[in-house]
Amino acid sequence: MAEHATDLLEVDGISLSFSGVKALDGVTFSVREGEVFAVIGPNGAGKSSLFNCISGVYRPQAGSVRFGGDELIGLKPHRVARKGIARTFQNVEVFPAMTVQENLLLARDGFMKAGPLSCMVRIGRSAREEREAVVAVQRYAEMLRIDHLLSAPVGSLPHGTQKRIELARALAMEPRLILLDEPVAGMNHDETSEMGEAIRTVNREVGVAILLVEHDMTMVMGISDRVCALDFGQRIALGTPAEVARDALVVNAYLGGAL
Amino acid sequence: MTTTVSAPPTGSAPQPEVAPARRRRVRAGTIGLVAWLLGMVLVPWLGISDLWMGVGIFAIIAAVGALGIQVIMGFTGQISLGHSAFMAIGAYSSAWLGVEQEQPFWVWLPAAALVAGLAGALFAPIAVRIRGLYLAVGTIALVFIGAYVWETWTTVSGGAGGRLAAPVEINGQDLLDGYWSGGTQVMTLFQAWWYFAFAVLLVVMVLTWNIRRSRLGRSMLAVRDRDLAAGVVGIPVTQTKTVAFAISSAFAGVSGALLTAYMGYFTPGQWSLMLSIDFIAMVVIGGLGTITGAVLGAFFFRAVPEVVNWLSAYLPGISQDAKVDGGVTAPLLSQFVYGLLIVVILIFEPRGLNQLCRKPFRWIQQRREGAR
Ligand SMILES: Nc1ncnc2c1ncn2[C@@H]1O[C@H](COP(=O)(O)OP(=O)(O)OP(=O)(O)O)[C@@H](O)[C@H]1O
Ligand SMILES: [Mg+2]
Repeated sequence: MAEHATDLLEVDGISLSFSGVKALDGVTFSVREGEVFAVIGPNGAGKSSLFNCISGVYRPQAGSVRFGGDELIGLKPHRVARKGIARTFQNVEVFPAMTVQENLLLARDGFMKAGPLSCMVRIGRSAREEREAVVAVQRYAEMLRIDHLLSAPVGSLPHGTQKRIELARALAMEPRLILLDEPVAGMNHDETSEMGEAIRTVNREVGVAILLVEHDMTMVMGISDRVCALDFGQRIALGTPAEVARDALVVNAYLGGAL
Repeated sequence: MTTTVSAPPTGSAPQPEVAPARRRRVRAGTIGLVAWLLGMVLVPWLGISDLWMGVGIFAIIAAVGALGIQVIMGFTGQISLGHSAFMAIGAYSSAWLGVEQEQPFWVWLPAAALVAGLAGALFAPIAVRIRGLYLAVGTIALVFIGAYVWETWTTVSGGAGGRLAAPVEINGQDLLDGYWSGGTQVMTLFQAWWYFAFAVLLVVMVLTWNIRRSRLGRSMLAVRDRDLAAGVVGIPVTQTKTVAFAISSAFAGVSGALLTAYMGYFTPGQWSLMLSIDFIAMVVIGGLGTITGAVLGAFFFRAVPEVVNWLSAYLPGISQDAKVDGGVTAPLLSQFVYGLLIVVILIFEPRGLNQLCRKPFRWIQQRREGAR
């Protein structure tokens, strides 16, 4: 995880409120190329809202989000995705009626150009692209060890496996940045360490930057380069895992929540 | 702290073996398909009466339209009640090209698809902004606008009295006269039309199958199941819905053109809301989101009322015509039994006839596996 000078994602003063509730309040930070950047904070701190603002699902009332220099605010989710940002959801968002392979193939859509008519007759470009996509998907399935499940309907698989499928799908988009919203939520100990390992592998081998939201502190401290803490929509700390763990405000936010 | 989900067994637990089961299902599917194709080719030579051949031809034509509903509703999850309006557009454009412009069917049939498809694409910008029931109601408007246009635009529609439809001419012979060669009739009108409609259905089935297994179909299913997640993985949601509307309308146009060409003559009154609802009923009974379901549903929808009607002649106490004392008549019984059948099927197997037909195969398969 070499140090990079360039900022890949710049989140600058974004604020979002839902009829009075301030979910995000002037949050600013940036993620460097290839780093693992974690966002922590108690329940309702605004972490998922932050992800939704970046991926174009919510539109913040103020602030800007730039990716590789381009403004993202105002873009539809699929435009953000095609700029190179993939994500997973806190409550797994897979397509249960489709097979694992089809779920992963969806992520290759950005690499395919065959138009509707070409798809309907399936000659030339359409057929070739579909074959290429199947090959590409195989690689990511192997990386996350779900390749033996490719023809299984996703809905029939256990939660932990679905989370891995979601990560594989994100990877298959060949993004420059992956947003992971609580990737080990609801997982048992073995699954958690397996997932942590997978995330590390992805970051190291593929070189993709990761923006991670997670409550599992062991995991956060273990794999992050830098950590940002949110509380009530505000950034209360930013630094290395060790620095943030010592931060009085962070300790207070967590203990305050527990008391 | 987190939303707790009951943790499933660990990854070290044996994973389901899926590959062999799938291969078997594919083979059963292939056998079924080949049997169906053979059956469809043989039907005209089995000495089936003209009445039943006619029912079959209507069913084949309906299946084309049902595949259109399958694309928009089954694949993309958008309820459209405007299907009959797009059928009408296909019917009128084909009739105008085939009669006034004297174009052959290989011009007017694709043109019907094109014009209806364009109309669908034009309507799409409105349709993609509304969801669910609102969309259903919004698409009803299309039927009413259509009805008004056909009633008033008499130069094209012939007004309430109706108009001639485009003829299907092969080697200069109108298919409605059967097919002749050297002074003898090779095929009757019903045999000839059966093959013609079946050929069109096969083409539309292949197109639909290709949609389903390409990026287009995957995008549609993604939009249907989770449009939020679809957007985030890079699927253009609005564009996908637009394309689905256009394709669905194009299939409706083909079905409308075929239907009227087979009838020879048609009136503005037949493009009713009820016709749209019929198509939705077909795909729901047949099985949403499957090609087989659309075809099964269309045949069920067209044939079952006729079968019940015919059977009732053999039942005691059922009169063929309405009587003054108001006894049970054949048409009345037919409607009742038909309605009852739909309810029973949907209770027994909500996924429709398609799954119902697969049940016995699955049962046999399970027994075989159990024996091993
Ligand atoms: N769609 C919405 N409508 C109204 N309020 C919302 C919406 N989404 C989020 N909020 C509110 O915004 C605040 C931040 O929520 P968010 O989901 O971002 O928290 P979080 O940090 O992800 O929490 P958790 O750890 O529980 O996932 C909460 O007060 C929440 O109730
Ligand atoms: Mg959250």
